[in-house]
Amino acid sequence: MTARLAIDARGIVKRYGPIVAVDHVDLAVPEGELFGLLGPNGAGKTTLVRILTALIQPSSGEARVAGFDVVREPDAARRAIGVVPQALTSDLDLTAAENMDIYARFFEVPRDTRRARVRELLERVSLWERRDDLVKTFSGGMRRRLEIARGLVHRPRVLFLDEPTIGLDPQSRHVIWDLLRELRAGGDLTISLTTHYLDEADALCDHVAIVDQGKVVALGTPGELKSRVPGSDTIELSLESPLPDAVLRAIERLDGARSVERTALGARVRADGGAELLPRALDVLREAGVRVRAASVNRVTLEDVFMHFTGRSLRDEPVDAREGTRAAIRRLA
Amino acid sequence: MKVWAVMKRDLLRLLRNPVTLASSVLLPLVYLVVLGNSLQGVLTGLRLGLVVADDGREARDLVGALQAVQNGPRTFTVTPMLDSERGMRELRAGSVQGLVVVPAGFSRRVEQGENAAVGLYVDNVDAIAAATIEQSVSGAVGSIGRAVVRLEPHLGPPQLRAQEIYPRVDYDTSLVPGVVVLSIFMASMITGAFNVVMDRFLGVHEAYLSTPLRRMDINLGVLASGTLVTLASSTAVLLIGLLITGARVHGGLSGVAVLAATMVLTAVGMLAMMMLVLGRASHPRVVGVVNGFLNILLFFPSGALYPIQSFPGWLRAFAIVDPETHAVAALKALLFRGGDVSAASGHVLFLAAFSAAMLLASTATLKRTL
Repeated sequence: MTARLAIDARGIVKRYGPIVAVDHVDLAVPEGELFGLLGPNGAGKTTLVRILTALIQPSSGEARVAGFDVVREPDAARRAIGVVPQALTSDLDLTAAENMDIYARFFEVPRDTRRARVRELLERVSLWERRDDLVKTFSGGMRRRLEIARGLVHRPRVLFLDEPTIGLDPQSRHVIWDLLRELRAGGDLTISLTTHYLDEADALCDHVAIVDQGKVVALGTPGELKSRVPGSDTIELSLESPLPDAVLRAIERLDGARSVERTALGARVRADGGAELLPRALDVLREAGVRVRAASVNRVTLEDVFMHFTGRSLRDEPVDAREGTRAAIRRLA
Repeated sequence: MKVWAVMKRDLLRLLRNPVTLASSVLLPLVYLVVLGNSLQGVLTGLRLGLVVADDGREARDLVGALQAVQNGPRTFTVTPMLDSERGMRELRAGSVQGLVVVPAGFSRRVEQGENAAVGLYVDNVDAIAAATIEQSVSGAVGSIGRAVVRLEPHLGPPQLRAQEIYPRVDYDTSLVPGVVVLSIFMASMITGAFNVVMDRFLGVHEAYLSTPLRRMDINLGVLASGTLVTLASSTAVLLIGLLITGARVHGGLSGVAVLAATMVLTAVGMLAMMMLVLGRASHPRVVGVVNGFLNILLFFPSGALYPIQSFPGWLRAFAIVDPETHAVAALKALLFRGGDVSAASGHVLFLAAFSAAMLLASTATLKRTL
């Protein structure tokens, strides 16, 4: 049986004059998934999310979210989704509980359930004790947790999170990760997570779409995407003596090995399935009388996947100047 | 070196923001044109009612003299009226600013050199307009009967007996309605549209635009909160103004109700107008420029400081559709016209129509998407 789709986008295009921000994107996200949109700033992922959340209209194409057409039925779509934008959008001069209550009213959550729902969610994000504190006294991580809770206040079917851990310290990031894992485990909620943190997508997402220059350049589970990168496992060998040419060539001939190069400490082997190759490489070295001090296998990362599909590193991407300024102002506000 | 760097940074930012630069040129020009034409000038086009109960030569001469003022310096236009009672009604309703009554027997008295007098009733709510009317009518009356040989020379030429129909309003007191309207404008600047623009500038709006709020929900909610704040501050200003000047609201409960309606409608109209103008702006700098422009454009031609009748034609035409003109006029009627709320009704109706139009237009144009 085919799973129902929480997000079904077909041929989405968004143009700003001559610039094509989103270029014929198709997405099919089954219900209950935690789906990752990965890409650098300016790749078009935020524009795509804004189309899916009925905040902007596509130039062409169709998108249904939770079964509702985001262009023809924007209000119905908005009722079915929760949105946690990249900007910190909670009201600073309101308390945590007031922020929650007001959004519950926006969604017409019935009065008799509103208070209980707010309590349940604030407890879930560990902010119940701080419910009467003004948000201006909160850290960035606390605000983000509050906004995730706020995005859930009307029990949405799809939750969109845009860079939810940007600017947070590692501890706060892991708190958010745990929260998302918890929500994912609930089963009913579909989560769309936009990020440019590769480890985040790797740790959390069931499926990942890599977006670059407005297009989806790769789509699959993190494992599938990694397996599509040839020779990207790396074996680092620390040797007590220089590696002889004959031994180097013997390792190169092993099944799965892509290349072998000498390093200051010994040698580096690029391979498919590095963990499987390592014992055989150690056998070759032992038989040749080369003593090994240490060995390690570095698995392929989504960074390598991104490099493979786009030809460049995520960190080399320019930052949108206006977004950078806005983010700074928001932090100061 | 460091000062140079700070200066260069500032200059570069200014030069790359053409709106700021343009406003620094445009605003003084607006000041020059609007302010310059609003605070000086010879009053013309005042409305004068005329009741003539005498058909003698001197009475006709007086009518001719008044018409000469109408056709010459155009200080006022003369509207003939059937009787004094009707004339007073028109005067109290604000249709005319002065009423000349030429009594029966006026010509005979002048011809016989007796003590002849012409009555003048003036609407002294606008002290400058009242003084101008009195001066012009006095000149016209003084020109009558100069050829007559008087039996009792000490009685002199015909007299003008001027009477102000309301308790005297000094200049400070006359400013109270303008100050209240200004406070409504000021409060509407820092609420309503300003908050929407700040939300947009900070990116906060993305969160509430992704909820099922409709344009009408957003607009009405923002306007309602802005109206409450605006009313609180303008009511405080009104009470302080009344306390300082000793003025009071006339007309009992109905006067207070019409006053409240005037202030609510003015606040709603101003806030909705701001939403219409700024509903798509995304930078607070635009709010500052637009507010500076609107303040000059709306306040100075409103008649709060100087009579509208002194304006050139184009500015007078603008003043007629300026909501602040009607707000000031309604408040003046309620504070200074002794309880006749009907004098404010036309202005209140205008404000109601203006508010409704602004509400609809600002809702229709509010940007619901990013």
